[in-house]
Amino acid sequence: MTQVFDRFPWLGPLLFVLAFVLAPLVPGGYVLYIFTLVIIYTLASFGTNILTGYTNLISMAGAVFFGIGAYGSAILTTHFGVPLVLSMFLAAGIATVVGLLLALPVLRLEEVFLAIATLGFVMISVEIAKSSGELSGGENGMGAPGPVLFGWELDERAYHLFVAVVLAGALWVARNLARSHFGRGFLAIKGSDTAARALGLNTTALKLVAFGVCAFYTGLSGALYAPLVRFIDPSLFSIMVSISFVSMVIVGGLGSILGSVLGAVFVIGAPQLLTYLGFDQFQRALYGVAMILALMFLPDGLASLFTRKRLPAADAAEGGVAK
Amino acid sequence: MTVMEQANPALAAQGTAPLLSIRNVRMAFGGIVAVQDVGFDVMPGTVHALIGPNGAGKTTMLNCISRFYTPQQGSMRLATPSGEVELLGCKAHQVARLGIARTFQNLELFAELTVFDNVLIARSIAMRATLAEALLGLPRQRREERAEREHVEKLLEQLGLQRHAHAVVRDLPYGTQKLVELARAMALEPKLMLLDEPAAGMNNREIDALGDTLRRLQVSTRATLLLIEHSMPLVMSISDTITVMHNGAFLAQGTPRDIESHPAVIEAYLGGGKSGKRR
Repeated sequence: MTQVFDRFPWLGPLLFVLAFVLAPLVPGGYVLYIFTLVIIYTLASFGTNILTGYTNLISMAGAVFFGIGAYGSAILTTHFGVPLVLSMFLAAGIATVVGLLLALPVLRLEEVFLAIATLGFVMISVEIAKSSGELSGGENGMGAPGPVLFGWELDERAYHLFVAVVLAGALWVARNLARSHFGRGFLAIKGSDTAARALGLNTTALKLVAFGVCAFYTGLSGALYAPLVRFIDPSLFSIMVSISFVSMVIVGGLGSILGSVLGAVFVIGAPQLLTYLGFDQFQRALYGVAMILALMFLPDGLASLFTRKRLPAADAAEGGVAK
Repeated sequence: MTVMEQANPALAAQGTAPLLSIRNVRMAFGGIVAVQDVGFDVMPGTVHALIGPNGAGKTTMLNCISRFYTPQQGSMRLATPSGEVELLGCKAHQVARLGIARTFQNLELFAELTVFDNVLIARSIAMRATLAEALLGLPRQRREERAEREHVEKLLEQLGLQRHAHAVVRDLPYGTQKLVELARAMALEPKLMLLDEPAAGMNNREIDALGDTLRRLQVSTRATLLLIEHSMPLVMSISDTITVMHNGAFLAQGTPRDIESHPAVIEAYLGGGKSGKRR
């Protein structure tokens, strides 16, 4: 299978568009809803991958950014009459600023310590959401208006396509970033913080950029989520949401854009699919088993099914021929 | 540098200001004093060796210069085109941008990345494109990316690493990894290169080849080398100046010939149990 994808690099994206963007339009309804959800979560998965997969910073604050994105967009549209698209980017921008502010005090922490410290932010944010007054409905949550684009009300199919377009744009930007000296700087921090600094990389600034990008993507993901479900409450600021984002990049493949997509498909899609197929009762358990199996047999993530790691032997042989 | 100057490094150094001037550096970890009142000058264009028995404080000195450590006392002044800079006022990444590159005793490579990417990361210092330009893939970003990729290709060719360019560093033999780390440091185009035991783990033939490489590199890049090394044949053959440290203190400095016959140095190396003390 990997050889086929090596030879036709456009095959993967094409299959993705066919299977995840176009095909679900046919049945519509609940199936389409699941696929829209998968695409929305893919965005959060991208953001988390930049932070965790590329930079090796494990943050459990994903739910904070997701919640800010969802609440931000809903509040801006209902209370302030901001157009939907603008509200989404504003909300993602607010999530970015919050992300940078949260990152500053905890940047010196590493690995598990960073994860636990960021967990604290989730606990704080859920209390803020619960105790907020009329603006966001407190514990009862609030309704979010359905998607409207330039005065046109989008039906489920149109919104699905809209979300897909946003994802395409985000994917393009993430790819640019990953292939720039910033992306390589992230990988350098992951490889050796000491070496990165010795090579003149301002690792503190780079980590802040990674946090900012993660917060923006996750915030945008939340902002796209609100109009889809049309009702949001403080349960968005849940540790489970954060865990699901981190699971996506670990199951999908750390440091791989394809992995982010596959991770979101697996973590969000699989439980929904199991429910759809009637395994309602054992859904959680089956999903847990699938996750364990995936990590046991594909430690480099689902992405390793499709991309072949370059073997050093093959490379040496190439060099030998060239010489 | 002329042939004459190469033959007699003292000539090259004469009348010029030091590139790096270290004074009274003291570095203690808790109650343990690793470096006490050490000072010496590194002259531009020279190969300067820092030697001494294990635990003499050599690597600590290097870590102070590259600002992984902050000495409690002293000064380390670097001559730059825009005047003298006190390294104590700089952070590690700023030191690199001032033109000081280094390698590490136990290799600090990006093991999961290819040789090419390892070296390309060092070229980030030459990239001016902002985050916005990178996110949107604007022309300057793409232009720089192309130029630096070519630069890295040439550099790898110079060091005979081109056939390993796309190999993942982790899979390469130790000797090749050492060369990759050297290439990566060179990619910074440094004025001063700090090498921490470049010959460690090499056999005699590899050490000879390394000596040639270092000399060639020093002549072609005009970089000043400050190296810590235990292989005396290598140190004696390539150094212009040798500084000897012992038990965290400055012991002696001079040409290889001076040092070879220096009584205190001989005492430090051969003088019984004390010299073998590890820290």
